[in-house]
Amino acid sequence: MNEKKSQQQKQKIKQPPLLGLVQSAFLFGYAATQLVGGAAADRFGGRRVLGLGIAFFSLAQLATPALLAAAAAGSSSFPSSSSSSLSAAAVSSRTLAAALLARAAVGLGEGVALPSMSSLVARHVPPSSRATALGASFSGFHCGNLLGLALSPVLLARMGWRGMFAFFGAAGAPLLLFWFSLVPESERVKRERRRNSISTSSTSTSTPSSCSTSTSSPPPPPPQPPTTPKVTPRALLSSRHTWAIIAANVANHWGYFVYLSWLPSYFHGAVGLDLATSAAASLGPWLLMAVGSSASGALADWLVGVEKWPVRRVRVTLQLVAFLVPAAALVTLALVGGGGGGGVGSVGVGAKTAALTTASSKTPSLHPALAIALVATALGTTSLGQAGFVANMADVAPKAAGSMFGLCNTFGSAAGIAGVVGAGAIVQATGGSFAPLFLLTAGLYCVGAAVFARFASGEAVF
Amino acid sequence: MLSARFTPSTSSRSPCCPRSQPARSAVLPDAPRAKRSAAIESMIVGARCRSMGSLSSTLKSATTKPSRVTHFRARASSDNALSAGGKEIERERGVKRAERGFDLEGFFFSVSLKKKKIEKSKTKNQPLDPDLLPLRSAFTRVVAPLAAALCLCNADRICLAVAIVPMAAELGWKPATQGEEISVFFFEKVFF
Repeated sequence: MNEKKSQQQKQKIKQPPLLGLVQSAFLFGYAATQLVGGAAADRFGGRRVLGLGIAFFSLAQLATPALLAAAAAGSSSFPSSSSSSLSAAAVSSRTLAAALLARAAVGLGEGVALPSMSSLVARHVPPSSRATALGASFSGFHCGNLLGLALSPVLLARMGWRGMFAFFGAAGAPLLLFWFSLVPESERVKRERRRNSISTSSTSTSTPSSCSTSTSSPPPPPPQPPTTPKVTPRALLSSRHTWAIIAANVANHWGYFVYLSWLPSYFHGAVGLDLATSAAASLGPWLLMAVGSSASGALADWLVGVEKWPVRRVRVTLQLVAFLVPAAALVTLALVGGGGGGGVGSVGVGAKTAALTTASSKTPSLHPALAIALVATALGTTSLGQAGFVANMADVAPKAAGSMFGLCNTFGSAAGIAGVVGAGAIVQATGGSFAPLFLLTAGLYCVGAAVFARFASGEAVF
Repeated sequence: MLSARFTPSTSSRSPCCPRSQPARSAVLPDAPRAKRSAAIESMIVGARCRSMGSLSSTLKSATTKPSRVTHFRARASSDNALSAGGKEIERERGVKRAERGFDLEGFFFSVSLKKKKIEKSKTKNQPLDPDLLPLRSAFTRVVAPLAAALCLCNADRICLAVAIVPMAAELGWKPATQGEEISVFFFEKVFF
């Protein structure tokens, strides 16, 4: 039993770097298109930008198995490795590289999603219910986690991982239909396009009849007064209100991506649960997050609209709750669970999932139910931040909500990469204990909360 | 407004009838009546001229625009003209009142009307933003598709967290054996 546990722990320690690597490949692509996607959404409308993004990431998802197969075939036909004994390793490394590329491509497509959301909501939803709209959108976002975790084990068992990629990729087609049939196009974008088409058609038709008409100027007048003034990232960065949002975003994303990429494999590696159970064990927190997002949005709009709180107070209060409660939960988890030296923290969390399946917990230093409650609390309350710093982006920059979101989320994605990679390094360096990681995350939350509370603004700056 | 009219000098005389001669002269004590109404008239005419000027400029710009845009502009400017006409009627009423002897009343009446108009146009401007949807359709046409799109985004993202275990087994990404070196190597090679 003891032997098995130590072996599992070793596997757990070794397992995450691979996942962290692949997840961070995704995040590199994801971070790359945040700024561009945000600016494009402000310019061309979120409808077209996110539509394109959906098409792109679905195609990349669909093509992942083919890419991997091509990489495997390519490496066998080109014996570039120095010795024949390395060829198996060479094949696996080539396929790994292909997988990383495919993930980065999916990330590229998905990077435009959230900035487009910000731009669309700021443009089409009445200001009094923007936080509700953002919260509802984020509920969809977290439901995606639920859906993915619930569906993928089933799909894996039914048709293997190739089938799973094909399924998720193909799901993009009906979504695209749904998307383009419902989402309205921005009037400004429409007007601009109409003007372009008029100018092209008038240049083509006016040439034969220009002599007969009056002496009006032959080239179409190019006045562009109704376009919104362009807000550059530099201008956004010059404001400390932006930096407040960035600080909150960094803390939030560090925590979020640590949870996101570590929860299932952590459950699986720590306890040796089968895939379906470990995925099911990590469903709870995401469900709580999905509910929390919608609730926080509605709460924020209610506070502003009915209780007549100032916007700044609403955002700061919600953000403080969203950061300080998880920080407290994580500190408790680290102190109680990590009291008995290296590895106890992970054993504590491992035991709680073991209790889920076998219902025979040995009650180590931390009660499993308490551990589950703490993780769920931490994740659930961070979702209040959707009505905090995320809604604050549209407050500060209503005209450039997409660019603002892209800018802040670039920093956030960088923090996410650091979270995914750094978490692996920290867990390895401390011999499998998760306590230092939890403490570090809690510290980041506190810093983010302090900076946001000090510098956030409730009024439109840009 | 009323309290401004009752200056201390007149309050002793007849506080009960505010439109009487002494009350008016109390506000503008040393200007003769004709002069006063002339001043008001010139103010109003000036305002009218300004509005007419802007109107004519929009009309001028509308005539130089190509077809469809012209349509828009023309309609917008006709709306402007209508509201401007309404304002003029109100102002004329004010002037008539001023000449009839209710000059102060008329003056304040027209001023307050103007204020109300401005406020109205301010509040009118917000729903006129063509991109803002009514609440219900904003949620059905924007938020619901957004939630679905973000849902698929995250499903695509997180499915790998589960799928990586069989993938690693099948494709030989065995971190326990050779994975550490390979992953570090590829991390550097691919991204840096």
